[in-house]
Amino acid sequence: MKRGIQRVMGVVPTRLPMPSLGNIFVSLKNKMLEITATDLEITVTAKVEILDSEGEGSVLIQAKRFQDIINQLPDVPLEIEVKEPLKVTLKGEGVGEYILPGGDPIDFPELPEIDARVSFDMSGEILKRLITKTMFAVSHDEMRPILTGVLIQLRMNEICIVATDGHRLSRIKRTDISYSGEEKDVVVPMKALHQLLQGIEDDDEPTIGIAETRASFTTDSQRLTTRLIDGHYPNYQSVIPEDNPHTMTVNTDDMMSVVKRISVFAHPISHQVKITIKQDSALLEAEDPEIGGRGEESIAVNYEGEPLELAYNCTYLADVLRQIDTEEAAFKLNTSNDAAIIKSTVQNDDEDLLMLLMPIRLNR
Amino acid sequence: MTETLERPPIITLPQSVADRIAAGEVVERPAAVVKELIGNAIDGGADRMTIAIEDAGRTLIKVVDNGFGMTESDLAAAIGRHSTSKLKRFEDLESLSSFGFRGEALPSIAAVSRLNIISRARGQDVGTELSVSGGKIEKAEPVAAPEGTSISVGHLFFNVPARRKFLRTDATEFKWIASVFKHFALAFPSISWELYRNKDLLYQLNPGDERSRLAGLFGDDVAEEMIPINFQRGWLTVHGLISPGSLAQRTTSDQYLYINNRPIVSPRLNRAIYTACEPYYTSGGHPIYVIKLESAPDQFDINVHPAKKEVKFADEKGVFGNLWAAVRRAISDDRAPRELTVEKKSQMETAASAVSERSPVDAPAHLTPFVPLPRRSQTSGAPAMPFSPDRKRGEEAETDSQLQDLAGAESAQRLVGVPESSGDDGPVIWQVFDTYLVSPLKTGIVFIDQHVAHERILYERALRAIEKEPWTSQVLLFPVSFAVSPEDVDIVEECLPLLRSMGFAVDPIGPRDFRIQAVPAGIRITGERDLLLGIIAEFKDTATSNSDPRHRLAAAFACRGAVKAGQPLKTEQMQRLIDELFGCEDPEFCPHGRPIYHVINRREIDKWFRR
Ligand SMILES: Nc1ncnc2c1ncn2[C@@H]1O[C@H](COP(=O)(O)OP(=O)(O)OP(=O)(O)O)[C@@H](O)[C@H]1O
Ligand SMILES: [Mg+2]
Repeated sequence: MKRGIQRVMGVVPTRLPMPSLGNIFVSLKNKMLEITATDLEITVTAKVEILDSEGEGSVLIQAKRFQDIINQLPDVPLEIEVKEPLKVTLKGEGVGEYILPGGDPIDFPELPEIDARVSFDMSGEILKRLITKTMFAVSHDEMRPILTGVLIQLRMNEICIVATDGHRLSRIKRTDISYSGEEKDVVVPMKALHQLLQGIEDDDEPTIGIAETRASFTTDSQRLTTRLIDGHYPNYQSVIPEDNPHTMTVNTDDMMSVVKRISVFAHPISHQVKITIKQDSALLEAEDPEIGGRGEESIAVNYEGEPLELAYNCTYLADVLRQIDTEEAAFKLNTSNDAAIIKSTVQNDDEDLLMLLMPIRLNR
Repeated sequence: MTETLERPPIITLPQSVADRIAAGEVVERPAAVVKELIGNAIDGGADRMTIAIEDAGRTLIKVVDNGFGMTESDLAAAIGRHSTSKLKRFEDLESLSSFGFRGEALPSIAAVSRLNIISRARGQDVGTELSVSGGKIEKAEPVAAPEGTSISVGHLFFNVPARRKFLRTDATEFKWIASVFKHFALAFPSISWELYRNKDLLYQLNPGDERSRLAGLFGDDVAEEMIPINFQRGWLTVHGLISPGSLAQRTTSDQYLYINNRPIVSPRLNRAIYTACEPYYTSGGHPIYVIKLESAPDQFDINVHPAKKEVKFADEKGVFGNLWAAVRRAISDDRAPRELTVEKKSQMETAASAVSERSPVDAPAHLTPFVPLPRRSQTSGAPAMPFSPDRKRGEEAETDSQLQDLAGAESAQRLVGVPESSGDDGPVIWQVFDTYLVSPLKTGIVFIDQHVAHERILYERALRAIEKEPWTSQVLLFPVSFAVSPEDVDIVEECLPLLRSMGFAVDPIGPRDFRIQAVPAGIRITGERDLLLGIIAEFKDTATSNSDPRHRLAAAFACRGAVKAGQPLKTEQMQRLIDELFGCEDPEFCPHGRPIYHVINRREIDKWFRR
């Protein structure tokens, strides 16, 4: 029960556009207990195992209070009873009796039925991996709502997930997906992905359904429905450079540690870190003129090409490095004004992760 | 006072003086001349027109048309007072469909300029050239000329120094001329137009419909989004185009209202339009519109004002109501699926869009130069150091970017049991009316206006970037382009180097098109294009103030970039704001001179309670 509530609580809105959204919808039907919460964008229904049941029906319960009491209760079998209309009684061995005011289920918004035109299954572990590898690059710019979600592109046996905020981009492709439907591009809001990460277990096998304006992710224990963001996703393919001439290879963890240390002295607003790359080393420098601090550190790299001087936002740089699972990371570079492409040096046959980072232009 | 016994003798003013006085009524400035000449050309049956302006009309206003022209005798008559071919009987005034009817414009213009007219009437072999200076005919002779009329008004007000002095800057005078031009060009999309300024071709508009005309004037982006209005009830027809809320403007300059194709101003009708579209302009701003009313001539009276603009309707209420209905219907049809406010049909759909549109919790500042926020220290071991500089940087902020960027961060916190208001790591700050920050001090309570506070911070930062150390630029993956009107090209070019030192890399990519390649690094900007256009508009508006352009641009950036009043802020953002404000050189006043904060001291509070 705790787990079920946790799953749904994430979508209970903090500020309530409709009072009934502060409630969760609890329904007992065919010996199944389901609890549902929605913020109208996203709806999560968790299925809760029950030992025994009697009758059928549904009721609204104040989400916050319900969660608080359930969290405080020890792990004992609970008896939940709705006797009089709109009065919920909670009882359990050695934990007394609690009465919660209930609400009329009529007040809960009607939930969207989605009739998926496209539906397929994939491993929960992979789904979560794809989300994690891209989500960091999602935009928060409400003026461009389309970038506030991730793009999911479905092709024959292939799924490709893309996120960008216009400063960086992450794209991951899997070619081992059992998908044979039509080609489909949809944009799923960030909040739904965040919910999915929390709600899906690695060994789940979620079924993904996609309809005109919504998508659903269903596992044995929960079902999440989300509205899709509509609009045209920018043509990201055209901005990914194919032939950056120079490659720098660097030990991922070492680079990460240097970036973390250097960033302590990065300019508090621009966060820029300057990187000067030579044959076998790169010098990272940061400076915070406000406090008069600066830091520099050199790191061994493998690099062929002209010496280069570039700058990046160190937060972005760390975000990118964090996604690299291999010992070494490869930076494909062009000039100090062009996009850098970052990849793992070794990639799984079925997977292709590509990250792109736009530089900071150094003035003078 | 009507019947005084001893009244002063009536004297006749010398004709030239009288003409100059009268001229002032009709032509008070270059734009008025342009209006009269274009009106004449349209009345004269032209479908192609070229207008050339030099020195904002001070030295030359020239209108060339291909209408039916004038014969030699027409010409002589045209510059005589009250000679008009358009109105023979007084009753005609009631049912007028031409622009001119007084027969006053040409003589008035002739009285205060060096006028040159070349015209060839349709069906005639030769044309006539007529030169008039300060009202006196200097030359009238046959010339070879194309069919139609070309009128040049040179050295306007050369003999009325007072008027000349009264003129504003070239930029302002030209703005008015351009506005007249746009009014006519939109009224007559089937006429082709050219406008030259000091030999540069600013606009070349080919015949088309209203939407394509709008595209020619304001760009394709705007034209595409405009919502059509088509409405007819009783004797009133309304048609035209209005912008959706997403195109809301900062100024009211692109609003065009006509009756029977005659530009009018009517605060009342304007209000009808505003109230009709208000629900769809959720974040404020002004609509762009081109709205044309058509009505039987006896339903309104347009001759209230000598400048022929103000209009009176027999049935004011009816017009108001119908115009309101026309606009509301058009815009609500267009927006029905998303923005409908009624909660009937599908409660689900409508309420959902309401949420996403307001999104009070996570609404980011239009521009959020607050650095990434520190994690609320869950271990809370560090001493509470309000405004300590290190809280804003370092690994913590960095490693945390992922976590705190999650839209669901707030709910995640609740899951791990962090109390919702952990006010233990900073001073207490409240935000009231989503506009003021309030914080207790030892000696009282301080109120801070969030917008002007942020304005001050950004102003100083921009100025520092311009004058001392240029700001670095985050290069954009998807450069954003924008177009400005041809009159504004110079202004934008003036701004570019300054913008560059502020971190905006903007490159010209066409005669009036620019591309934003990079934005100030670390400053989270939402809507680069709108921000930049806003800065440029603001910069332009202050053009007359004569102050240093660097200060003007910094102020424009600050004004457009600062968080708005009415914008909810997170605690951390409020802290940053206060922190940075008191790090400013002058935290007292915003660049425009408004006070930033106000302290109510303890003594005052004590007094309320008679302590
Ligand atoms: N471009 C033109 N083509 C043909 N005829 C013209 C043109 N401009 C002026 N005229 C003739 O000259 C006359 C005088 O013009 P003027 O503008 O002084 O008066 P109006 O247009 O009749 O009235 P108003 O003073 O209200 O403008 C017009 O009635 C018209 O016959
Ligand atoms: Mg006229």
